[in-house]
Amino acid sequence: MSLRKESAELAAFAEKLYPFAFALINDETAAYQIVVDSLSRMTIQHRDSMDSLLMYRYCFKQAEKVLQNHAYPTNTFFDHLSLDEKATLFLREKASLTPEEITVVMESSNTSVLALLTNARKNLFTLMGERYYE
Amino acid sequence: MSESIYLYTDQNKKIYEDVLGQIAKTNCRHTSMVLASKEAGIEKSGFIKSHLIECLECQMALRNWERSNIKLKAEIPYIRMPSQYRRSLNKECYMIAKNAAQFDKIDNIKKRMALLSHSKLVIRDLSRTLFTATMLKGMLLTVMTALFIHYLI
Repeated sequence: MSLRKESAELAAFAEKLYPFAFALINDETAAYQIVVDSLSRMTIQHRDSMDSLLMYRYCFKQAEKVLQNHAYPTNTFFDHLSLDEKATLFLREKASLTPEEITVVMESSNTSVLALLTNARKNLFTLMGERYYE
Repeated sequence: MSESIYLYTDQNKKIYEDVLGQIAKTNCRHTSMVLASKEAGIEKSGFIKSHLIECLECQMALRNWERSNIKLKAEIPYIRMPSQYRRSLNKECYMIAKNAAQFDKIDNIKKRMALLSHSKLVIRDLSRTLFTATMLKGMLLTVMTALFIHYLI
């Protein structure tokens, strides 16, 4: 694959990845940096088998690493959720991934992903001051 | 002796049906399962599908779930990349691709070097032991072991 084609493909990945990174970290510059870092790591380690699930996984890991050393502003209700909850909820609702695909990203079992999703919904509803319908 | 009073009469049939209907509405044991299958994305299959057609409570719970999910979706941020970052992103991506290509080359060279150094080591070890006392000792030991095994058999 030519360099230009590969860089165009990476840019398309980055466009998809940025909203996810921003949802996790709530900071424009940090989100951009996470996207760039995860793309560089992914291209070095999996140059021949890049896909969107792998890309989300690298981004999630990178965000986890960044959040260990730095705290970012929590302006919305969504920001108050845990990182795992934010990631699963975003991937399910905004990226429209299936729970099976989310298990690949989160590197966990199907059951724990479903539990995370339910807890995330409940917690977000509690934070919003609304009743979660069961 | 007073007459027995039957509570269930044709006149009260409507009331009983309503009451029983209300109880059934709030007591379906499948509601949690229906919501869980909605979460897993399998609500349109098998038992759940047929159950949803007949159970009012589950239908209502699912409608409520969907209604609350709309509010929830609106709460999740979806911010596209700002234009100032998009401009620098193309350059950045080109550099990433270039670096990855170079890294591949380095990786291949490293592998080749490792293989070469390994074969060099093998040749060096062989040349060091060839026609030496160590080799003679080894050969003698092999012959002795073979003779011993032959003697045993």
